[in-house]
Amino acid sequence: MSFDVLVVPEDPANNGYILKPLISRMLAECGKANARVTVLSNPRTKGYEHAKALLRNQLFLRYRHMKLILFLPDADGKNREGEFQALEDEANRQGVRLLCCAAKEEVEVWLLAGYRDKLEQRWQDVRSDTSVKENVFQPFLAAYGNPKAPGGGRDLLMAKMLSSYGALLQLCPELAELERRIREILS
Amino acid sequence: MITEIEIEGFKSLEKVHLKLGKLNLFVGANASGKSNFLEALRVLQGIGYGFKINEVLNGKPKSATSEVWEGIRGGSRYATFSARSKPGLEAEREIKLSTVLKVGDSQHQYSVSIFKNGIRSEALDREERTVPSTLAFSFLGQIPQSPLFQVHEKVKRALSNMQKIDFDMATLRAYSQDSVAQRIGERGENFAALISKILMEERLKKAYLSWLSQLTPMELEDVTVLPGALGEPLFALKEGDNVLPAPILSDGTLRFAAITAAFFQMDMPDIIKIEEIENGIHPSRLRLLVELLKSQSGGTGPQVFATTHSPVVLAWLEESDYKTTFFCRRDEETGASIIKPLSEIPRLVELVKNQSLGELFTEGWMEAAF
Repeated sequence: MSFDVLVVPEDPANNGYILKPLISRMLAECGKANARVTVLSNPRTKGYEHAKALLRNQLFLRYRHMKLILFLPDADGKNREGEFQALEDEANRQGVRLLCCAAKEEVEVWLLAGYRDKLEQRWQDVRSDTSVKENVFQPFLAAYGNPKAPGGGRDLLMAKMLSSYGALLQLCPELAELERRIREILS
Repeated sequence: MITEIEIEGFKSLEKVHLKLGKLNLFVGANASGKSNFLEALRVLQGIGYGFKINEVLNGKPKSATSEVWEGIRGGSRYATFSARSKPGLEAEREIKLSTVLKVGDSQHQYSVSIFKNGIRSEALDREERTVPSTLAFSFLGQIPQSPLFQVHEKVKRALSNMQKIDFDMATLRAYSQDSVAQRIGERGENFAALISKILMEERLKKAYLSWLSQLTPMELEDVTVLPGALGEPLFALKEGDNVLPAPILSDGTLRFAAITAAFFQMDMPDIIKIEEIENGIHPSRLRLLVELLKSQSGGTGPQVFATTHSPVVLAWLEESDYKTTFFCRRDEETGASIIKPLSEIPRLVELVKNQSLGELFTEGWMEAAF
């Protein structure tokens, strides 16, 4: 039986190219190499608040059959712990296994972690920049992406960066914590 | 790139004036005028090739210098607009097609009037102002050394460099005649030969494979070509150790693979036209198709004209796309097509903040909104 995982991003348009390979790899590390990862694209999420409302009003009921739902928005400089706890509790009451994890400060940082040698900024500055997408990621993509590829080459860059998966968990501790929680659920 | 177009008296297009972008989508019910708009572009393409108007409208057999040219639907007999309330009265009416084109760094205006027995065309260089009036063209435009003649030829070359994508599954599933091709044919001829060319450049190959990987749930390992008895190529995908040749691939996979390949052509047309882009593609993958069209028509990519009936395609558009997404409907009284950009439909932008554009389209909301 397949292990089905639904990933709910803030906006699937480009985040999917980063999240799908990342979560597939993480599940493989947790012993679920054949997990089927779906990034939610319909209904289309439009930002953090919209995604949160969709989870509560539609997705918990619609995707109860999923083995796991992951909500992976941007932190955007905010502490979302309280909201995440409330959301996970509500999912739990409805029989849904939900884990929330916010990218500090935006999902693109998880890709950039594999290319620190190509960035002009210090890693601490990249991690703390709430506009990292505009300030760091877009110039990086313009220089090292592939405009002929989907997502401007995000998926190709992500595939390459996942060869240093261990380093990614060290550079982005929120991902290490997410992996720990997934292992806990699977054990 | 055609930046502006005015069509008068052609089929259901009594009078239409549109400002165009790199990606232009036409949505609307059946027989609302979407295909007629694309046929107007085809008329311009035929004129660009230098065909006679009878050939442009009714078709032309293969010759030593050109391939078979399919005429427009209904041929010259149904080419002119005829109002429902006055059938037959306007059969002798002239057809006018006026465009503003950007060719390289310069802009040109090109107008064609089509009469029963011929055409008259006028070309103006908008920036250099080499033409004092359109009347001058009829004389000066005949002299090969004149700047006007050169403008005219430049514009015609640009208009003829148009590609209609109307892939035929049997053609896509067959071996290509050539071993390598720079361009795919309108019916999908030389699809595998174009893939052979794409595979020669690692960066292009990776990008192409990446699009296909997003489409299919299977673990796609590679894209390849299989050689026939004489080395002629056949398109194939590799899934693990399994090689899946074109004849056993699904229609949707093959069509998406061919549409994607069209954006990897080495000899890229200036304009690509695709009817009913969603055909054969699963709704959950239409997001990918929209992204393909948007990303590959941007920058130096070709200008794209596409029609769709799919609410899912609309759901993936951004507000910035509404200026060049055109809703088509017919006027009940005259039968004339009315074509309007979504950005000009009253209240639409406000409504889509809370409701999907696709839902509004499915409900028929737009039919009565303007």
